[in-house]
Amino acid sequence: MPVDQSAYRKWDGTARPTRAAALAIAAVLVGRFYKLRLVRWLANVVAVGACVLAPIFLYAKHMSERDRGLQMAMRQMGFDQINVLALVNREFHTRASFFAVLICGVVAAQLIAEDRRAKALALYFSRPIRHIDYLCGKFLAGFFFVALLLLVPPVLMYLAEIGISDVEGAAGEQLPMLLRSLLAGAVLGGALVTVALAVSACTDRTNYASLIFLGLMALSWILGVMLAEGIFKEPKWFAVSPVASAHRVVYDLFPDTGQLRRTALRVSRMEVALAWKSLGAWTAAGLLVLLAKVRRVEVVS
Amino acid sequence: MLVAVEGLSKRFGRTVALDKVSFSIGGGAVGLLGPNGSGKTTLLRILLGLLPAKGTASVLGLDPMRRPREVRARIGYVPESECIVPGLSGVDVVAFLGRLAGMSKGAARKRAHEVTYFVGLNEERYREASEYSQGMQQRLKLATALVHDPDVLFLDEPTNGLDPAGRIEMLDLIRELATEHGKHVVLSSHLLQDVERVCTEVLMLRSGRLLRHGTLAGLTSAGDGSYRVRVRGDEQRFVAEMRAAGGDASGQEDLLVTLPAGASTDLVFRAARAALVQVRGLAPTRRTLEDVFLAEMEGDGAR
Repeated sequence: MPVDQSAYRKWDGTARPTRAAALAIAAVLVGRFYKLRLVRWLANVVAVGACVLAPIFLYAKHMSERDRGLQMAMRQMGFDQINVLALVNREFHTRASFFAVLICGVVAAQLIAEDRRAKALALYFSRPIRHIDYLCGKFLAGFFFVALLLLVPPVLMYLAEIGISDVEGAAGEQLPMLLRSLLAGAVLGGALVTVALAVSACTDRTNYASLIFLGLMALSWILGVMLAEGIFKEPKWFAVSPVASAHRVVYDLFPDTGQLRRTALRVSRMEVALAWKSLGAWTAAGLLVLLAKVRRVEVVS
Repeated sequence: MLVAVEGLSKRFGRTVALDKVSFSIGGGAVGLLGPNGSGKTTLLRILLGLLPAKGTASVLGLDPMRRPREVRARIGYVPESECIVPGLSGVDVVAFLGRLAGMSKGAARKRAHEVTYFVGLNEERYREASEYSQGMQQRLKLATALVHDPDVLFLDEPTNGLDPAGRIEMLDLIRELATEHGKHVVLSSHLLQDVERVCTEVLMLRSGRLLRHGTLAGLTSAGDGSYRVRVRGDEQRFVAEMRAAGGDASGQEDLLVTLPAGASTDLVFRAARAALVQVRGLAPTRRTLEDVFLAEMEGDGAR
């Protein structure tokens, strides 16, 4: 970049409030993590995950004759229809949710805390940006990493499926499943990133923010299990945990058509409705804490 | 009008940060002087639209409480605290903040190189900002304030943590911006020498109240009818003539002359004529800003 060696020069343009502040904030954070090789590391995880999941999916889709016989036997036992694609997506999201918690703990939970530690909020808000721009930027940066885990593999699976399928119109046929899978990832990722950012806004110690977020998720999970299966023995208490709620939402998005299968998973309509409400409540609470905290931090910093 | 405030008040719980402050400043280099906790930073934050307050305020004709983003687009702000955007190099920080001010990516990048160079961050601008010394961080903050070429600079304690040489360099840079590049500068500081070196107008705050407001020349002129007079000839005869005229004179070479109440400087020339001496210099005695500041602080304490 050539440098003007003369003294101060006027700038020809005019500074004005920008609508793209959130994108600029997200881009600079993602770029920063890229320099830390985190993105490359995550991309590798996604690539390996896709390599592992795609064969499972394809194997399930094109089962061997012996497995077809097994499926027939299961149907005779009462599982009248098993939607393999739903099963694969459901298994993927259920397992990926734990990794999403981990990523949020490592990345999203630090995004605001490190700004607080570096007192960067004073610099951010010396610019013509709104609090919502700042928060959206942070959210997009955090969500980017979760999306690598939750949204990219379903797309890869979908592309692999329509690539090898000999069924005419497979792309359109499988599209609803892809959209549901993306919705599941967006709901889970959105809730987790919001809560992680809320935790991040409450401290200026990045390590504490990560530990508090991971601890909160673990505690809520344990508490949900204890209340639902131990103390009250009522399934509704699972809703204490956002991860457990996300699992119910996944069951709702990828249901089996067989009635017995649903009963076997013990996911009732009431639980599904409660799960959606629980995720909504966690997200709303996270947003409220975020708005209150960031406004206050900026004022007192 | 650069800044106009009327009855501005701000409380944090029971603490009164600003108490019915009213003033207006037209431009140039203005010093905001006061001890720590006097409300300087709060005043700047209100003017930036970062804090709500009672009363009215206007910056460049805009209400910062109603149109904060438009105000901030036209102001460059150097915060008091040591602050950096973590994980970025110096030039990246400046370019990023330029982007947030509404500049295009290319323009922000080019401009970031120019202003980092201008503030004296040469090759250091490629180093990560968190590794900067305090002096370099202050320069970097000034560069972030300049990147979008604002009309007005709000500088909150810009010499904090600088060594004496660095402090003088920074102050000279600020003065250059004010005098040669037409920037309006509001310099908040508790260091009298900083304000004296850069500013032509001063606002003095204490405990959230405005104690004095005026030009530096006006505040430092003694205003008590005393002058520094240099004469060529018989000084003792001149002193005697002055005393005979009802005034007073003392000292050697640079005589401290006090005129009687209501008298003009004509009296000095009449006494010189009578004493057959030549007046080589005549200037009103000046107090330092420190004298004025301490007198105001004591006066306010007594009140």
